[in-house]
Amino acid sequence: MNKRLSPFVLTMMCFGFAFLYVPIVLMVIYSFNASRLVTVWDSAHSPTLKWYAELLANGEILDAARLSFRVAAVNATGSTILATMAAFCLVRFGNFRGRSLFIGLTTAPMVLPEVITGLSMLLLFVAMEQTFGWPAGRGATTITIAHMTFCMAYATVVVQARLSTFDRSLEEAALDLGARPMKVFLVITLPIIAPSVVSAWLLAFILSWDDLVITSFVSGPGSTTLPQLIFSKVRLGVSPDINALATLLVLTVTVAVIGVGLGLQRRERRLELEAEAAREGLA
Amino acid sequence: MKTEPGPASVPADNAAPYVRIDRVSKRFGNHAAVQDVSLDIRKGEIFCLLGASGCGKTTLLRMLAGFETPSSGHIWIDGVDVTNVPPYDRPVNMMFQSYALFPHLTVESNVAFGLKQDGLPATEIRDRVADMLAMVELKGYEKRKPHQLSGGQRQRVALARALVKRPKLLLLDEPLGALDRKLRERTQFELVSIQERLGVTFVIVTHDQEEAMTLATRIGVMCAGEILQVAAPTEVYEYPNSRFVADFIGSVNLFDGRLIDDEPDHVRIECADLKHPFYVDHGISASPEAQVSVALRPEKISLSREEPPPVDGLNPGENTATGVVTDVAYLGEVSRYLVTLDGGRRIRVSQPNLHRHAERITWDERVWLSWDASAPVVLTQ
Repeated sequence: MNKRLSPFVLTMMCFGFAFLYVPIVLMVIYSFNASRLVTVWDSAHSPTLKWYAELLANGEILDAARLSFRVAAVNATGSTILATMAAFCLVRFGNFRGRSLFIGLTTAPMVLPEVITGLSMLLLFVAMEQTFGWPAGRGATTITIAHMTFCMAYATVVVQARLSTFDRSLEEAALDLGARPMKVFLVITLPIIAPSVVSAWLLAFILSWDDLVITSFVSGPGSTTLPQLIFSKVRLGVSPDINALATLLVLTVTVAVIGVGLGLQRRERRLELEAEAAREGLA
Repeated sequence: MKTEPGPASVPADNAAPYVRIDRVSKRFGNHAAVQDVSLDIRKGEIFCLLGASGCGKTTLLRMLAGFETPSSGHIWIDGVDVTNVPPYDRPVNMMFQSYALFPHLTVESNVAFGLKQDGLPATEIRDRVADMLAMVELKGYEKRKPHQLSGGQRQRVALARALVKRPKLLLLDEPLGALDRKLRERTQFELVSIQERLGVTFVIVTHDQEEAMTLATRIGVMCAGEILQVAAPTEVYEYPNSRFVADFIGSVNLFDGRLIDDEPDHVRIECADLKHPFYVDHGISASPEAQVSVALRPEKISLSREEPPPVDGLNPGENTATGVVTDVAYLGEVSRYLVTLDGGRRIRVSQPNLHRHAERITWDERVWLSWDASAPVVLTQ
């Protein structure tokens, strides 16, 4: 390596990373703090795991986490299905009348302020309940539906990007060999675009998992998601178990990201090895 | 009366057509991709649709496969009207230009795909796939994925996948287009031998005339959505029926001329680029004094340093010309010359290199050009 990093670049890099991660590191450290006061480090009894123990004994937090997970999973599945359908229309139907309007309408929720989306969803749900009695009250169902409206927009963009580079002759070949259109979609198209569908699902999951604004409009008394719980706890004063909870969340996300990254890398490496083996086989 | 020989060299002219394309047109918006094409293809033949890109040959092929529906006209395959039959119900398979191998399936699964759609028993599928892979010499590659294969191997998988269902008609879209030169030569003979063994009717689309000449039993030359000539390769080359076909297949010198002597057994055509008229040893059907074109292939012209001896029946100087060599390209088996005639017209001549030590005609030499009375092709279209 003859290309040395200049001190300036190094400083900027350290500064940048510090800017991003010092707060998180601090939070992680303070989650092991024994003191009840968040800002005071109790060096006599720290580090301790007592906040983690308290967290796991706290039914309220566990319930919220469970609800968040359920909403995120159902939302991700629903919006990925809708998004795949929308992306198909956008890519496959050519230049139909009003295509740009359709694209605009699909992606508008991405740029629409969340407050607006949340408020309009709330008005819709109230109106629906008054007209035909469903959904009765607000809770997990309304949160999921509201999340799907904006997650679908992101998921559509992801799937559409993959579909627009999809080689259609693959589908034609399958049709030509006797598969009916639905079968072609299930055994040829879907497996090939699967990676993008999975990313769309993950994106929708994460967006839903940490949404606060829209959720607070459409949730009911019995349904509190994790971000809502954290927010309300912080408003009453930061308690140390929130640090522990946040640390666990960061840990989960980190493990997930590293896991997916490693999986992709392994897959790439395997493809490379296979290609190499094939070349050697030819030689 | 001796007239231009007709398509007598193609056998089984009276055999019932296996594939019948009847007045088929296809319009995309205002653009007519295929215009009023009628074509009969016989059982077991290799029919080649040849034309420049955008001439409608691929659209015609896609209509045979069922990916496009004709705007008007009908298509019959083996006596059944398939005009509106979807691709998955047609007894037709296609080999795509890009091969379109399913990247997530192994070689074996790719080939088995079509048979699985028919719901055949697993043992039969296995046997037929194994037979087919053996035929295209891909035994031992069953578990590979398409990206682990070379270009030639992929082409053979695509061929096996299209043939394994024993289609009545196999469509091939530029089958050799993606292969390098050496591989193409080998593959085109393999393709013909497989076709002969299985007796499947092939329809090939290509823009490469060499590919068409080597593979086809008959060629249909297409231009701007229409079929200009349908004939055997030799026929298309030696007896083109129009200026376009003459110019498109191989290289040719085209002269505009006027019919000055119209006899049943010979004609003379006067041409502004040449001092003496063309003498052609057969009659043509054209009105006297008609404006015609004369096509002269470069290899039908001989070059010499001396004046060629006179020929019986020809006036002195007829079917000869003089000029100066402007350019020479030595290609090994032949040399190509560009000769500027005394009138200023440049014409192409190619000469076989028959002798190793011959002193070859070279730049700036004055030469005599001469040709046989049977060599010029008179075109009235």
